[in-house]
Amino acid sequence: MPPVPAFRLDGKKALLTGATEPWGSVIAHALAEAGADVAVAGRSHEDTGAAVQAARAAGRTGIQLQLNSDLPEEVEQAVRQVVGELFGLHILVNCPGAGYARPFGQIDEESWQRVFELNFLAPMRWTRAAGSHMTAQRYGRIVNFVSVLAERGMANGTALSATQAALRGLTQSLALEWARSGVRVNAIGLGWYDLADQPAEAQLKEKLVRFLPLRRKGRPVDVASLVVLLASDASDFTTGQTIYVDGGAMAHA
Amino acid sequence: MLHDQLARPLDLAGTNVILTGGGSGLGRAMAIALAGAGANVALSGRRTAPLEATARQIQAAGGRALVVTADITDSASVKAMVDQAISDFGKVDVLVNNAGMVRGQGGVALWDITDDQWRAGIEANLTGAFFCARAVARHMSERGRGKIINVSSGYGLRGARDNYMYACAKGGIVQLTRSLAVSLGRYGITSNAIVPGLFPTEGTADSAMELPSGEFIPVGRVGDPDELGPVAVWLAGPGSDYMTGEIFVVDGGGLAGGIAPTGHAPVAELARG
Repeated sequence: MPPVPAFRLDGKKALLTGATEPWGSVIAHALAEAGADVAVAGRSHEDTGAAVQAARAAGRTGIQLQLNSDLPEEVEQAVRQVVGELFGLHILVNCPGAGYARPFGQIDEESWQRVFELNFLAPMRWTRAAGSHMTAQRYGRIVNFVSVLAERGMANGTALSATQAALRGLTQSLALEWARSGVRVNAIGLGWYDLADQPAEAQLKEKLVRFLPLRRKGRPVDVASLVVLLASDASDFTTGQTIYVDGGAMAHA
Repeated sequence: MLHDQLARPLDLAGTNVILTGGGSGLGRAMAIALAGAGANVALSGRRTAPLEATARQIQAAGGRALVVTADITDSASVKAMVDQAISDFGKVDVLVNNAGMVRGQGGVALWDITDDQWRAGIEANLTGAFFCARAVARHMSERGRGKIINVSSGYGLRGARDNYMYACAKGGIVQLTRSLAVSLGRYGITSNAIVPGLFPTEGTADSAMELPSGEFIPVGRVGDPDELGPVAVWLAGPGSDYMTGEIFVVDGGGLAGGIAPTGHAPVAELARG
C-alpha cells in the first residue's frame, strides 16, 4: 500500500499562524499526530497556549512565539526563530481569519485597514517570510484558509469577501510563481462553521443550517485531515487550489 | 465519528467500495490505494482480464477485491453490478465513478463528428456515472450513509479544442456532483469530484487528444497515477465527511492559471494616473 504512508509528516517542521481556539489546538494536534513538530505564533500566550499543548500531547515538540504580525520584521524574526529552534521549516498553515459583517456604508477607513491587516496582510507576511526559506531549500507546503466568500457574495460581507478573494488570488498566483521551486501553495475554503460545538438538533432551528445540504455547520475537526494531506509529500501535484469543505453550501442553487 | 476524523482519517477497514474502470490507468491506481488503506473493493469494467489483474495485485498485498464485469452504459448491467457488490459485501459505502472513455475522443473537427460518436462519448463519460449513482443511492440512503466520488477532468472546467463529447460530459460530471450533493445530503450521502490534470495512462496513450507535455504544466511534470491514491483515500474516509458538492483538483497547477502560457511572469511597475 504505497501511497498512504505519504500522508505522514515525520521529520517535518510546521508553523501555525494566527491561531485562535479551537482552530489552533485542532490543527496543531492533527499535524503533530501525523509526526510534525509544531511552532504556534500568536499575539499572546493565551492565544497559542492550547495549541502548543495539543502538539505536545500528541508526543511532538511544540513551541510558542509571541509577536505582532502587523510588523514585517517581527514576522521575519519569528520565522528565523522557528528554523533555529525546530531545525527547519517545511509547512506553513495560516489559520482562518477574523469574521466581520457590516453594511458597506458603515465600514470606516480604519475598519477596512484592520480587516485587511488581519485577514490578508498578516498571512501574506507569513507566506513571504516562510516562503523565502522554503524556496531556498526547494521544498515547502503552504496552506491558507479562506471562506466561501472568496467565491460568492453576501449582503454585509463586502469587507470580508474582499479579503478572502484577495488571499485566494495570492494563493493561485503564488502557486504558479513557485511551481518549479518545490513549494506548493493551496487553500482550504470554509463554509459556515460552529466553534461552540452545538448539537446538530439545536443547529437545525436555524434557517441557515436547514439550507445546507449536510444540515449542520462544520467543526474545525472537519478540515484537520485535509490540512495534513495538503501539508504532506502526497500533495506534490496539487497546487494553486482552494478545496472547499462547506457542507454543500456552494453546490446549492 | 468526530474521533474517527482525527484519529483514523485514512483507515478504510470495513469500508466497501465499488470502483468502475478498475482495470487500468487511474482506476487501477485508486483501487490499489483504497485497498491498501483497508477497503474492500469491487472492481467493475467491461473487460474481465484487466480487472482480474488488478484484483490479484490487491489480493497479493492482503486486500479483498471482487471482480464484476459490467457495462456502465447499460442500466440493467449497472443494477446487476450493484446487486452483486451488495450481496457479496453486505453493504456498499463508497462509489468511485471512474470509468470513462478517452479513446476516440477529441481530434475530430466539429463538422465531422457523427451522431453516434456524440452519443457514445456522452454515454461513456456522463450517462454511465449517472446510472451508477442512481443504482447505488437508494441503498446508501437506506443506510443513511454513503460517499460518491466522481472523476471529472480539467476539460470539464475549461474548453478543449476539437474535443466536444469529452469536455461536455466531464463538465456534466461536475454538475452531477453538485446536484447529487444538494439532493442527497439529507440522506447522509456526500458527492465530490476529483479533477485530475494530465496523468499519462493506457487511455491517453491511445487517444488523439492534444495533451500537453510536462514542460507546459506549472510544476514541470505530468502526474503519476499513484498520486491520485491519497486523494481517493481521503475522499472515501471519514476525514472528508463535511465536504460535498465540491471538486478536488490534482493537476500540477494547470487550472490555477490558464490566462497566459506556462511560465509567463511579467514584471511591470505600478502605473499612476
